[in-house]
Amino acid sequence: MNSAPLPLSADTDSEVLDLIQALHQAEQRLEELTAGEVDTVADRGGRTLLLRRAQDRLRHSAAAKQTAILNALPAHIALLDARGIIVSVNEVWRGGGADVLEGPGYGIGINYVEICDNTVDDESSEGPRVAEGIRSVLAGRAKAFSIEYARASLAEQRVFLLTVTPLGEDSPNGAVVMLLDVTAERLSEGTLRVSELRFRQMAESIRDVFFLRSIDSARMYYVSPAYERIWGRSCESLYLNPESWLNAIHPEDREDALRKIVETQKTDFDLEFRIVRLDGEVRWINARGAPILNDAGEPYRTAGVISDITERKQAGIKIGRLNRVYAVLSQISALTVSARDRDDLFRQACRIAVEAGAFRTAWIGVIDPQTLEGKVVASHGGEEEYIEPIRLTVKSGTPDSERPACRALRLLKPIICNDIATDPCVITHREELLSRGYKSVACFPLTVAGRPDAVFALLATECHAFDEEEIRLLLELTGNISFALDHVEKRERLDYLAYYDELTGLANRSLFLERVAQYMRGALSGGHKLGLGLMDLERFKNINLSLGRPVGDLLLKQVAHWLTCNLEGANLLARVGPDQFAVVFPEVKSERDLERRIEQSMDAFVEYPFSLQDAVFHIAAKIGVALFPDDADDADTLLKNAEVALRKAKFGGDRYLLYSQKMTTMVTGRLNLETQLRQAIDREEFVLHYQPKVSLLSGQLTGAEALIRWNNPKTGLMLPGDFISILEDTGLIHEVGRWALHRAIDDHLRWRAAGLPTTRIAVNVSALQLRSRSFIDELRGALEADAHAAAGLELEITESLIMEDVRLSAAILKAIRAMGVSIAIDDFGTGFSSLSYLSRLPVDTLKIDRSFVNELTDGQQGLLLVSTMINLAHSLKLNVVAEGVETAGQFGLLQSLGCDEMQGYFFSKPLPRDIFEESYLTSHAAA
Amino acid sequence: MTRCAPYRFRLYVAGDAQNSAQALANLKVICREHLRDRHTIEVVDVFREPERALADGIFMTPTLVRLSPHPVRRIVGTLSQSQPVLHALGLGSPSV
Repeated sequence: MNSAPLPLSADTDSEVLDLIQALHQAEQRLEELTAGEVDTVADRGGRTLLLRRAQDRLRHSAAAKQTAILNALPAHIALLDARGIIVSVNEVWRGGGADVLEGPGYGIGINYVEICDNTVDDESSEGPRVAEGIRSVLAGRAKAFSIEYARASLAEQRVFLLTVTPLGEDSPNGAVVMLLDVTAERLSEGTLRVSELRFRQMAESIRDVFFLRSIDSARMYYVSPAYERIWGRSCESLYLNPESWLNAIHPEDREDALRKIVETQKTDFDLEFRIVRLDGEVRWINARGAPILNDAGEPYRTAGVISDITERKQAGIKIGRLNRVYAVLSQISALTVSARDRDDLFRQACRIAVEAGAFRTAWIGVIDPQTLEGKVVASHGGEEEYIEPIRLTVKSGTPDSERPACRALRLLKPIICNDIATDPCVITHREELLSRGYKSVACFPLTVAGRPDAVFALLATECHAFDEEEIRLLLELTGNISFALDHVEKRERLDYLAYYDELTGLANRSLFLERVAQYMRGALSGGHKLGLGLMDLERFKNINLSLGRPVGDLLLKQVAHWLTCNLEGANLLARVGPDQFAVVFPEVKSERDLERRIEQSMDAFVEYPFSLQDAVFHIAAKIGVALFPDDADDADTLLKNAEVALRKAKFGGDRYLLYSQKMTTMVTGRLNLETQLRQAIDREEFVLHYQPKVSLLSGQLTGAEALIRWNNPKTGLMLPGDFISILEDTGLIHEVGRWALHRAIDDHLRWRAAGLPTTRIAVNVSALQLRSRSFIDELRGALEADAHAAAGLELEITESLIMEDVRLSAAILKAIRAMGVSIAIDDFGTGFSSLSYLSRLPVDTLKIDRSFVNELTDGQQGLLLVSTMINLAHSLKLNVVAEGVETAGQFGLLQSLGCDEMQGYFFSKPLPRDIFEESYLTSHAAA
Repeated sequence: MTRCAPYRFRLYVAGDAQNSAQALANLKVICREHLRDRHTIEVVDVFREPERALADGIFMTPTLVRLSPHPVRRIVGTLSQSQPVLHALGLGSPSV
């Protein structure tokens, strides 16, 4: 529509009015025709004939809408036409502002672009730039233009954002200018940046984790980077899965921690737990925080701080543990004084270690010094299935040798394993220990006098339970236990010595009597008999003397062992004297039954080959037995009566004897005899009788054997058989033997001095004398009295005594011979001499035992034996004497066999010195 | 009848004038009820494209043109009287 103004005149006015009238009518007509349902009607030329009402309404409503929108906006808005003239403004614009670019003076009809072009001052250079921006938008060169600039007023600085957008899309026929005060936004943005920076610095520098999350943990709003350092997991992983931090909680702490987390969801919380990092490291965590309330006062978020308290915790644990070890130490120190015995000590030590020391399990194993093996004797806090099968050894190379406990014993140093899962020192028993929840173990050897006596094992359920300081304390502790052990052991030893024989380990007399008394009560209530046997080893003194005491001790041990194995057991046995053992038979059915048992045992005993110094010995024994209640009412008397029976058995030929009343009298007699014998030496009641030896060839006296007699003032003259054994038992034999030797020498010298025939006198030497160290010296001393003394002396030594120790005998005999004393082997044929030995011994004479002489006339066998002996002796250039010649027949045979000398009743019985002197010396001298 | 035969409508309107807006609203209701998924509506604003309205011989708004199916039909008005309108568009039930 072209709106070029036309010149108006009066004529045209009426024409126009008519036309308008016609149009109006047409419009009305059209309105009627279309029933108001049509908005526009156009003519054929395309010119739209607007229905006025619709058009007005349209215009009105469109403008109203735009105005409302513009007025609603909080910005200054102005519409410019294509030339930049303001055609419309909103109420804000109209209300004015503080800036020159939007001042109230610049209302509708002003060219805003020109205004901007001219707004140049010191403070702002934006004017021309704004003008240029508007122009480019109006010209269609730019889709939009915006600029932000600051304006300082008296009070403050404000920031504005100016935007220019075109009106119409393709070919803009105007523009919208919008001016927004963004001071507040910019200001808050700036503050935000600063506070954000501060927050980040804080978040990234603080070593603790702090976080903000939804109350139900479903969303993580913020977590500080320390999370990655402590947890070893990325923060992103936590944002993606806000509950993933819970997964890291140590399995042992999880249940408890989760429960507390739920409990404290809406309250302040302060938790401690462990986490396991992805790299396996375990850390102690402290998480604390509080809920944040929303506007309604309901908790909806949680803010908190998480700290890594591992070091503090470890230090705390360590201090706690050391405190506990100190507690253990002091309690065990107290124990060293109070422990009653070994078992008590071990039990208490284990209990203290577990209860005060907070170890899961403690046990002590003991090593048997004989077998070098052992097992657990005390434990606390361990499962029986674990403790019971433990076997210990000090030896290496067995399946148990590599146990930490065994290594500790073997190496005599503590074996510490702080991580059972990885430490190679538990390689053999790792699975078992782990399956029982043990993480570390320490084994300390307990030594007594430097030998491994026991081992103390401590097991903990955490790794690294034993650090250097703790090991030091535990070493002190085990030292204390060792000390206590030594203490207890010494006390036990004293107790032991009071009741046991140290050599054999059998009960001693007092313990044995206690036991017998107990069995007696049992026998009384059971209505049966009880037997007590006392056993004496035969010839034990000889073994002790000839082979030495250590060998004798060895034999005693072997005998004790044999008895333990073959009789009723160690509890029924005792060693009651040097070579005496006692045995109690708690239940005896009858005397006959007991005898049978004793006989069987003695047969077995005699046959048993005892091994001493690589030689086999058979040991004989004699036993005396007494019965309860028959022979005594109390244990003491019972033992004494068994002793009486034993002595009787020893005097007689019986292997064993049961006690009878009259034995007591006899033994009492023997006791009296002992006393009398002691007095006999002082009272000079011993005398020597002499039995002459004569030459079979010439019948001449060749010598005499000195034989001891006891001139007992009460009973008269007693033969050696009645008292020699007592002299030997009491040791009086040395004194009496010395006396006999001196007396024989004296007699010889006296006879010689008297000019009587020089008769060599033979003196018997007993085993005890010969083995005595002082014998040679004594002999030398006796011979020194006179130069002729040696030539008049001959020593008779039994064959069996010589053969007991040939080498020793040879040495002694050589020493005797060196002094000029001649030597005769007595009782020849009863021992077991071998020819080779005999030839090496420095011997002058063989005396054939009377038993061979007795058998000489019984038959060919006896004759042959004696003949061989004589020939043998002669081939060794030995003089041969036959003993016990009683008949003329014997005399004749010996003469024919070429025997050199003889001695016996056939010629003369032993004679008192004076009679001998008179009968054989004086008379011959006279002759 | 082919069920899928598409109905193509073109509605000539005068901006968002009252009658035009009402006609568009009524047309959409009719299509939704009777021609679901088988119609297209093209709206031509005669203020924006006066040349096109002229070329199409449209002298009044709102005018609805049924372009297919043939024959082409024209209806002027707000399309408020639905029965005659449906009939005129060939959608009334008696004629179907």
